[in-house]
Amino acid sequence: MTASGPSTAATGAPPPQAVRRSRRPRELGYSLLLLAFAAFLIVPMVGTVLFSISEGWVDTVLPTRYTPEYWANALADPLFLPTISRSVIASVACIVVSIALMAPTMYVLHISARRLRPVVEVISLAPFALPAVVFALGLIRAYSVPPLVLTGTPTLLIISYTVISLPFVYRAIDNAMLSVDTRTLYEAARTLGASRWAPFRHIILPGIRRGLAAAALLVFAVTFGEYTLSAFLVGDLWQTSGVWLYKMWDQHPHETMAVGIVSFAISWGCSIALLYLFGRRTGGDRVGV
Amino acid sequence: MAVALAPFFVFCALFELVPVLILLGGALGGWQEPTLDYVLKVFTHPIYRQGVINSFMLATASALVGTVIGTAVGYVITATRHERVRHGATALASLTSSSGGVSLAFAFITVLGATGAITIALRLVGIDLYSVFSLYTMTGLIVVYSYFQIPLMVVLMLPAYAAVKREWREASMVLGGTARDFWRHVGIPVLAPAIISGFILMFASGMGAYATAAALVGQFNLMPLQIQRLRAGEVMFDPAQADAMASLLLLFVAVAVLLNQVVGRRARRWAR
Repeated sequence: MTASGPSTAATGAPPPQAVRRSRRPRELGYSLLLLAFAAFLIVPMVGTVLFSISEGWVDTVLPTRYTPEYWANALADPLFLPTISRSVIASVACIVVSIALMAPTMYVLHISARRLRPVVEVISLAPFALPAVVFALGLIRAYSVPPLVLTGTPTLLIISYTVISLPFVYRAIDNAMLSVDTRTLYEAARTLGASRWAPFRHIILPGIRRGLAAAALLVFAVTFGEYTLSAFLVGDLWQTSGVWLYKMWDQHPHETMAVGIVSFAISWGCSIALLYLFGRRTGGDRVGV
Repeated sequence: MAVALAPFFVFCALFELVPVLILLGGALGGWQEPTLDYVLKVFTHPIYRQGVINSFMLATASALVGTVIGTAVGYVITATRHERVRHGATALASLTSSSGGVSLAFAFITVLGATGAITIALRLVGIDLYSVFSLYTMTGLIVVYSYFQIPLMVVLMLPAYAAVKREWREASMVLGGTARDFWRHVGIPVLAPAIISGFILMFASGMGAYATAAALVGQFNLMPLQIQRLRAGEVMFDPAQADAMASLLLLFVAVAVLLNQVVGRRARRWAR
């Protein structure tokens, strides 16, 4: 199991002679703490995987019999593909809308209108303080009566995802635009006779594409398989994987776990891609031109 | 040029501001004849009050667990001399810090539920876990919330530890200070804003978390669950009361996040 990895690695190499005596008990304490930390995080994942492939796992520590049946059932379920696809569609649409909305906005803030920057920042970071339940209820109250009826439609779900993604997208694009020195590039281009938006299209956008990729992956990881907003805003009318997962637990717990693993794998794949692409500092602040 | 900002402002006005204003209006029983009855009822009605108290307790307890363990684990990750361990633990923390939700609740049922693997393993060695613990109680929720709170704290603390410069420690030693002196006069004061800020953020996320609790203890008296029951439940149906509850939850979380901004401004001084 992966849980044993950190401990052996931590105690494996002997410390230098001079400090060996005082360091050894402390290093042991460190290893035990890290081991407990890793075990706490990994054991529920292992439980999930085992549960999805176990047959009648009731009164034993580990399953007694294994079966691929639940995975087969889950993948063959007529709702599997539609619900996962809807989740992908909602997250991808949210990424497109977020970037289309925020990239031009941040460009304008960087080259002019600097006084509006704190205002835009507060508005963009505010969704951090908005619990999903509260936000969902507000959207239902506002958009289930004319003039604008949107509840039950994927449009409203995508809009809600865009709002909760604002803090991440704002930070990622802001960092990227700072690091390519947007204002200087803009002024240079203008001096050479470029229009106002030409530098955006030809210099800034290509320059911040790593930052945009970071924003996209982050938004995907945050929104994919999301439950609360889906359940409140669209529910069964446009069932996403999160809502389906919740509903199938009572009757098909093993299959639920299989779907849960698929869902986790997709969103963690994004997070891991993010870690590899941008090192430990996410947000795209090491963007090269 | 500022015209290009119009889409952003229109979007946020429509989908960020309007929903919140309508919710606040609903909490006051409509803007025509505003009344504080619904808001006050949250504190006077025994069941709603229980929801508020439970939510505060859950958010505080899980944030405390996250603070203590996350701070310690963050330190160990920073202090370990093994590069691979550091990278592995950091990756694990950043993956799990954004977990939570329905699948997490179900995952815990398989290991700590009444017939979960750990529950049965403990029974085999003679310990009846469920005589002192149940996943479907407040304690159980605290354990499950810790699954995302602890890694979140670790992720927040790593940059703070990185800001405690090795040179400061050496300077303190050269001047004759002990390790205790260093932590008391330099380390802890520098880390304090990050620790406080982490606690506040975890408190806010604990207050607002819905999916995990809904999947584990749907009928529990917690503010987010009560909001759902007041909105759509058959027994508790009361839209204005739901709006009042939601507005108060928003208020609590918003105050916490604002407080964090104040602390954060101080913390950034050292992060350069």
